[in-house]
Amino acid sequence: MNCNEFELLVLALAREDLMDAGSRELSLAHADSCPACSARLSSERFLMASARAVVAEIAEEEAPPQVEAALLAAFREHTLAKASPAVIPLRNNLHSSWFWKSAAVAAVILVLISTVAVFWLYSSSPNPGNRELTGLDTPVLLPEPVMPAIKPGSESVNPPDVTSPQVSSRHRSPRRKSVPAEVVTQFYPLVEGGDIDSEQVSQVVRVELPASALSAAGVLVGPDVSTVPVKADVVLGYDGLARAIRFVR
Amino acid sequence: MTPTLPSDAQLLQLMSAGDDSAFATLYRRNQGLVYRFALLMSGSANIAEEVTQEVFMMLIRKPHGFDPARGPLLAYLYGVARNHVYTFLKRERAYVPLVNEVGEVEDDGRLASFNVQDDPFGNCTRNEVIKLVRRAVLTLPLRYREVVVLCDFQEMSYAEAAAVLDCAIGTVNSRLHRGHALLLKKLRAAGEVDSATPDSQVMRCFA
Repeated sequence: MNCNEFELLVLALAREDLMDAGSRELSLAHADSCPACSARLSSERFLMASARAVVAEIAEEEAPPQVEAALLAAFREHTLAKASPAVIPLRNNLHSSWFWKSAAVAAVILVLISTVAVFWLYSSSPNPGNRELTGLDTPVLLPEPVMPAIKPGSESVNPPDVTSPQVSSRHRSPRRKSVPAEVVTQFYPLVEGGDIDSEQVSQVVRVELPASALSAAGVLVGPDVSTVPVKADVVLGYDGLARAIRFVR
Repeated sequence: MTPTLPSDAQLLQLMSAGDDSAFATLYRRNQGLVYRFALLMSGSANIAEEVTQEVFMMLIRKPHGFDPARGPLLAYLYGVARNHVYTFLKRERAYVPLVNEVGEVEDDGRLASFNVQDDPFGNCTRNEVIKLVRRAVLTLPLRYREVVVLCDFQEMSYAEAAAVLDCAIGTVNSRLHRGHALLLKKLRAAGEVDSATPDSQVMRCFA
């Protein structure tokens, strides 16, 4: 046996694991004849003796009793939870990635719904266009018109806020409350033929123009107020021509 | 006639059916080995306690995670314990020893010749030797440390250690050789350092 072959067996020899009697005798014989391998074997035996001393030293060391008590309690809790699947420990739920993914999807859906709801409220409540079209079909007469000059046929854009306490809550947006109430007249047709078909209406545009410009619509305006700006909503048809006008205060 | 003790597999089956006495038996049978493995690997009783608890909590939560075809239950428990020890030791990296009383690793790849006449522990008591060996083991790189702990301190065969570490038997053999070489160097250095500074202790600071 040479030193390389001895090196392959030295650990097993030191651990007393070398079962083959022939190899064992050869190895020991080599160690007797080779000082380097003899020292190598001695060092390994010393290491093994040290390891056994450590093993003996810590042989009695165990986990403290409270670990067993805690584990037994956890085991019983787990068994109960398995027996009644309706009771799912929250901790298990929180640890699953599926739970967090579902929560994230639900949060995104909630945000989308909220965004759409807010957008719908803000876009529908202060927009006069829809209401004017409604007003064309069913004009609402104010019991106490604010503008005496245009008293006949005047209407309010937001009568429910002023007169009706039974308004639904979704119309009570903060933005709506901050806008002062407007008083408007009926729509006066600007085309021959009188009535305006709502299907001919493309859009309603709010404009501000000098009172003198109203003379073109056949409204008599005194010279003292001819320069006063007047707000009006103009109904435009699909051809771009004005179909009707109403005045806003 | 002595009653035969139920095997780990039988106890695990009873445990899965909700038998808490089976779990208690399984725990008492294996906890000491798991605890001492974690203790030798980490050098900390607190970590060993937490690792032991985590190992058996894993068994409670996922009893079917153990596959009897892949080896005995103890090897599975050692494997789980090893993973937890690694996790805990990674957390402990924030702590850096100020004094390395067992010397630096000389990773030159050669087995240093150890002169049997140079007994570094000639003046040490048995307790001092034990303390020095345990400290030296803790300074080994983890891949060597776990092999040394399993084969030398847990007295496993190479095949059993290979099953725990999920590697080839030859890998265990070579790592054990290398681990012993490093350990012997450290112990020699420790003998010199220890005689000069007998009260030297590992100090820690937050890095």
